[in-house]
Amino acid sequence: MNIIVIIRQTPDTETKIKIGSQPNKIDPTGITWIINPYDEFAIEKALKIKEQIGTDGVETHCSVSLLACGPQRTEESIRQGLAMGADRAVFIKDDSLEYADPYVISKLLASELKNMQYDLLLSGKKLIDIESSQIPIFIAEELGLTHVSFVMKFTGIDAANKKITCDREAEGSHEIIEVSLPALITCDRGEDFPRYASITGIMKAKKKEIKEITVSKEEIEKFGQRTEIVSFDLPLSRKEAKIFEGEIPEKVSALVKALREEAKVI
Amino acid sequence: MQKTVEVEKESLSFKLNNDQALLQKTIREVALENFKEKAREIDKSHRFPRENFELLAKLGMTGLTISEEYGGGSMDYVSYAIVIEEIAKACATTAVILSVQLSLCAAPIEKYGSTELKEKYLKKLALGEYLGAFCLSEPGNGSDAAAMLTKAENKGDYYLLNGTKAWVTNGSEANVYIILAQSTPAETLHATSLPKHKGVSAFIVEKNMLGVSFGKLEDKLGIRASATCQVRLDDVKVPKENLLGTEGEGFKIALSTLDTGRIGIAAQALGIAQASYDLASSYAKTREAFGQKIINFQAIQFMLVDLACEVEAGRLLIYQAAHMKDQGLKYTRQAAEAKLFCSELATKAGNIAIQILGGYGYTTEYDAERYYRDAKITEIYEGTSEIQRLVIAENIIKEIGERIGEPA
Repeated sequence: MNIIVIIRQTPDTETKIKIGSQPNKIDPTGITWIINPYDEFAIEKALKIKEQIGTDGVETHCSVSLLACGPQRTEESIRQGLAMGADRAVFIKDDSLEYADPYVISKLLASELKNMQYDLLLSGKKLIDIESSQIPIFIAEELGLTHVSFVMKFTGIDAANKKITCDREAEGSHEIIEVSLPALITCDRGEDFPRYASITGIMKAKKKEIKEITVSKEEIEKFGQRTEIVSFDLPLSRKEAKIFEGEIPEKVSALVKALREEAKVI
Repeated sequence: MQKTVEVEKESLSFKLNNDQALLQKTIREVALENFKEKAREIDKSHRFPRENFELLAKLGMTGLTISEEYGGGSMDYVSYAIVIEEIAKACATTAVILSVQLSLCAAPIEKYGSTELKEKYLKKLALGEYLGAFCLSEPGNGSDAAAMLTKAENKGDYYLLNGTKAWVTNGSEANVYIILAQSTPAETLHATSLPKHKGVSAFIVEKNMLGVSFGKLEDKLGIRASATCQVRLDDVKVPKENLLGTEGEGFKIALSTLDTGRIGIAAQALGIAQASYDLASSYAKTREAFGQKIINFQAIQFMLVDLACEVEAGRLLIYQAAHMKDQGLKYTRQAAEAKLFCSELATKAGNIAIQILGGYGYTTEYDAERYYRDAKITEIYEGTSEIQRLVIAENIIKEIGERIGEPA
């Protein structure tokens, strides 16, 4: 079974985002870049499948590849994925992809995937930077694949018959979905805690192949950007809550007065 | 005629390589997520953090610098310094546990041990199945190590060890100990006018050998969970193949072992200093006094600026010493400089952190007071600051001699 995990790099969750000199760019200074956390869950899920298949005796071959695109720094995240246990990686390297829209990125990744062997495509349920969930779904559409989104865990993997059973939360209940492979699944956290890269993993990763692909500006432009980021704004800092003191009748009249005169909402 | 200019391929670089950067990111997360919170609890309870060691073992950190051949990671000493610093930022106790494992126990076995000893001990140390310790000091002698009273009598098939070793990190928790003992009888030393240190030998002693026992856990100012205690040897029969190196080579082994150890302790001290700086600076950015954030006051700024400069300087000293070791160069002076500078910096940084946090810094509500307590030992163990100055002085005098063409 060949699994490909599509990963993106995002700023660390603790990053204080600053807007750059142009209003539609963010200031990259001081940002620590990480694997998009949901993509990291996808890597963990892929490695678990590999371990499971490796021990069930039916089929021992399972490979996990990573597919990523982005500027040079993306390589750090690819190396981390390889050190966690992925077998190889394909890296579409281009600085101009930094602000490419989800449509262009999915077109680009899908065109590369057409040259790759896979049974299962995994990715995160969303990107934590722009809160986008579009890329994997676009890819599934582009490749004509079945897709299941927001999957917490896999409850059954039938490598011989090429089927996988997914469990996802839906409105306080669980949906159990069985799909035939090839398919694309977007991953939620579930019960997974992404493994740390071990020393052995780091050593082995040195010998793993990162296939670098460069694309021309024309090729990227050919896909045709569908959206444009005009500007970024930081969320307004929340005002402190106002607490009214006194007996209930006094508090209520003070509240009504404030809503009418200060907040002007009634 | 045109001259071709040879361009040196590797210019001076301050950038970690890919493996080191990934290792730093990983161990930082590991330490933050698993050791930081617990550091306070084990400081209070004196409980040896076995689960921390086990996690490090699972990740291969217990074999970080041991060669691949014996199941280790074959990583360089810059990586070692990175790992110890990152762990120390979260928990100085866990940092010294690993530092002793790698540089005081595994490293001398790898450097001086026979193939059999390496097969027997290194693999288990690398996998973290064994925890290691190193025993040089005694209740009556520390810096004057050659004055040791622990004796090893050569009985043919085995050595008979008797004596008491003091201040042993990982003491009662370890499985395997490097023990330094006087193996030359006093009368021989006297008759041959051999200096005492030339009679010292190093042995690998296992915990379960008959006659090995432990004193009570020391109640210490800082790094309170590292199971420091006395190791007592009462007619312990050590097989002759457990002699490390040759008879009389022990003191040399101890000194070269401490050279490596000092990189670890410097890195541990640096981690404490960095943690103190991080805490004090973020506190200063939020705490208000006289109607503004205290970081706006120059009194606070200057304290933080001094720390920021010195932490950077300390890290460069450590990386220099580690890099020289990795290059196979002599690094005794550089390791001593790194250890001296960083350990004194750690105590200073802990002190400043408390000062900036004021009353809060003096309580256990914040980590500043623990950093201060944990820091002090780095000025004492693996060679006091005074010994570091002696080591540096000795090397400087030698270098001056070489420069002006006079023997030292």
